[in-house]
Amino acid sequence: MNKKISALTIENASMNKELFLALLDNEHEVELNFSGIQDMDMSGLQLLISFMKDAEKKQKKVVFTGGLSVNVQRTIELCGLVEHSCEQAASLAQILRAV
Amino acid sequence: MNEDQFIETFKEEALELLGNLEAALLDLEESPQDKELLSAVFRVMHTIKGSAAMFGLEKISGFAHEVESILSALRDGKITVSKELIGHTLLARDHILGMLEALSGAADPVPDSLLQFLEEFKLAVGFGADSPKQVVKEGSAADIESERDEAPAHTREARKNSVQHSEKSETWQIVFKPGPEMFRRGGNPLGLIQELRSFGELVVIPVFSDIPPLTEFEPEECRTSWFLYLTTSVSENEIRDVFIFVEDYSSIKIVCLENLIDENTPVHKKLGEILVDSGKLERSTLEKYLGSQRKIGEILVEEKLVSHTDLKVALEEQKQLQKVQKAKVAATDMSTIRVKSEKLDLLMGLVGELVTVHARILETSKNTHNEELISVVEQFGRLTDDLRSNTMSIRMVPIGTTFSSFKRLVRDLSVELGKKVELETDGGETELDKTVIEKLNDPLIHIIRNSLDHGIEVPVIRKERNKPECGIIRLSALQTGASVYITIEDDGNGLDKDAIFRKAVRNGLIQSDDVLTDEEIYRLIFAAGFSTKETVSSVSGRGVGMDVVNRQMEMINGTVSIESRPLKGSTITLKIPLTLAIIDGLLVRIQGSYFVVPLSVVVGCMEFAQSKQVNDHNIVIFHDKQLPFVNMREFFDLPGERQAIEQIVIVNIKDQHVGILVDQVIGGNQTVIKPLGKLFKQAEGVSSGTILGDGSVALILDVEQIVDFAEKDEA
Repeated sequence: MNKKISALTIENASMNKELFLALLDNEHEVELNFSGIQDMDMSGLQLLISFMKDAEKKQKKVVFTGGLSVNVQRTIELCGLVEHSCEQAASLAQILRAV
Repeated sequence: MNEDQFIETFKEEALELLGNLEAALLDLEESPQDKELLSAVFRVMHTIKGSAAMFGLEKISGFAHEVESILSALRDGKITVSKELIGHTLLARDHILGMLEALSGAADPVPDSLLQFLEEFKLAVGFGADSPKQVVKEGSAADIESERDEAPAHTREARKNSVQHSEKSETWQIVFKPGPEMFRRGGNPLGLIQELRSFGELVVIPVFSDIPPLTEFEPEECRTSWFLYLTTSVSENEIRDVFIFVEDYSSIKIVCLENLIDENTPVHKKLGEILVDSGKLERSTLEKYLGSQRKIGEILVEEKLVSHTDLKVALEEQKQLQKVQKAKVAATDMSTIRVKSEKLDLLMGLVGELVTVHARILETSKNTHNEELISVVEQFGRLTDDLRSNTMSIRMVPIGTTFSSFKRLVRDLSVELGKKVELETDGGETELDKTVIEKLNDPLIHIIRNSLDHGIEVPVIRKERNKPECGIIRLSALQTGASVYITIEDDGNGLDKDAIFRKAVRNGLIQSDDVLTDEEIYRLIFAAGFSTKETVSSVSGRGVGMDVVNRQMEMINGTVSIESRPLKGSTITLKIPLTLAIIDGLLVRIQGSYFVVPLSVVVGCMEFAQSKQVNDHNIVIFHDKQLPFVNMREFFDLPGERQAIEQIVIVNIKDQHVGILVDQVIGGNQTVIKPLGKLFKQAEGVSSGTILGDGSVALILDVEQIVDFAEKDEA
């Protein structure tokens, strides 16, 4: 399944949730490419965390790829998730798994 | 006061300032964002410049002025904290120290050598005419922040400045739990956090534990809450105002950390206590896991008794509390006066004499049978006792200052040796007699040097051994009873038993067929002229040094013990008496001679009838246990016959109970310790002497040595 997400924000939160659910139901391995995600707010970050929790429960493999856009970096820094700058999606995945 | 005296006072103050500067710089290296520290560093240089100029010490003031201007660029954010900056500022500090110690030619202008140093300094930190603003790696958050900042730049700048120059800042704990409807109502928690950040220093800890898995998750609800620690000079109301639009549907708790601290709060509040106080952990659970060798936090998380986030919050609270308390201590330091330590020594000596004289008066008054006189003398005794403990408390200083002076040592040496080493300290608030602390400095330097040079491996080898590249030397102090334990622990090589043995044989310290216990082999490293390192480095390897440890410890009645785990590291523990001047003792008599047993080791006393001695073995039953005892009359070879009824003092040595057989136990005695002098250095079983009320001399027993000798005799 190859779907494009341009923003993880409150405006498309419900839509993204459905998309994530479908991914977990249909795929064994999920790849999220962050290079297309231009914006993310707190609701988007919550959705990601919830998604990771579900994936772990369902024992699905999740891989984050690509670089993080400035806005995504800003959200994870402001909310206190990371102390230093985090530019790669792969490191974000690691951090989210530890949450 | 003439000018020389003024200069002397300036010198004294400047030396103290420079001491503080060193500690502040090393702290700044660890937390480069700490504005308080930055200002502290700047202030020191500013004060030295000003005072030196006042006394016409042009060389110092000119030099300090240049350094100050570099630091001022740092304070204004034109340059950033870097290893080079800290290193050069430390060197600048050393230069000033050098100039202070040799004040000759102080009125001259700054010499060329120092000008050249300043040039190098400026070059290394990127300080120049145009001072281009360096891009901080960690600072990218700030850059992005300003990019999107909606508040007008000048008001934010003004606010930041007001924070920076504020007189008094406080640390607040804010627990922010937005209502689930936050997003739907158009609220943005990140905007609020950003606003708080503009007030001062902010630590943000998010709590995500309320976010359910996707199937149960309502994506438009806010399920995240925050613990925030804000250090700022703005008022509580201003902080509350930030939450004004969300407060009717959110929970916001704001507490000033200073209010959580009173004089009963220990300087280092334990992590477990914080978790219990915040209701995250049952006290009974905590007590179950205390006493384990591992860090309590690790265990609790591993056992799933506390969540990662709870631990993180508790750790942060601990850190912030320490910060607040440090500031509080610094504030109270203002109301102190400076007294020369010689004066304190003199005072202590006089109090010692007073205690002795009191004992004599008491003795004499008892002979007069004058009740009134006896009662007055007893009252006098209580006052003397108070005076003694007060005077002793004046001489007590926390060992923390000594500890922090080693940070520089470790920093410089690790660079020199090409190793990565961090010095962790614990229990710096432990107090010890000033003279004892002075005597500890050299042994500690040598032990730490040795750990750095022989113990901690170079990064490549550490990696091979699956250890973190950065080695750790832990320096900790702990007081139990009348002793303080100082441990120096490293996670390096451990001691190489075979190498030590071989070397000791080669140096003629032992014979190759000697049978030694591990501890005895380890102890050889303290023997004079011993060093296992094949090459001599400037750090260690000359075989001088470690024997200093033995010598100094003997001088202060301390003992050394060593433990080592091959390839895991080694631990050296120094056990030191709290004070050297006066101790509480138990006076005993054998034949016509009097002896004092230090009360700190006494467990109890009992009568002993010789007729009941079962056989020739010196064994006695105490609390249903068989204990060995030492017959002191035999030990000291005193003349005379044993009495029919004798007394045994039970002492605790190295967690072992042993009896000491004497003729009679007389009672408690405030013992002013008088050194015996070189002639008696070889005397076995006595450590020093004291003068009794009737003017006669009593010897103070070295109980540990007595027990050791007795054990060897037996063997």
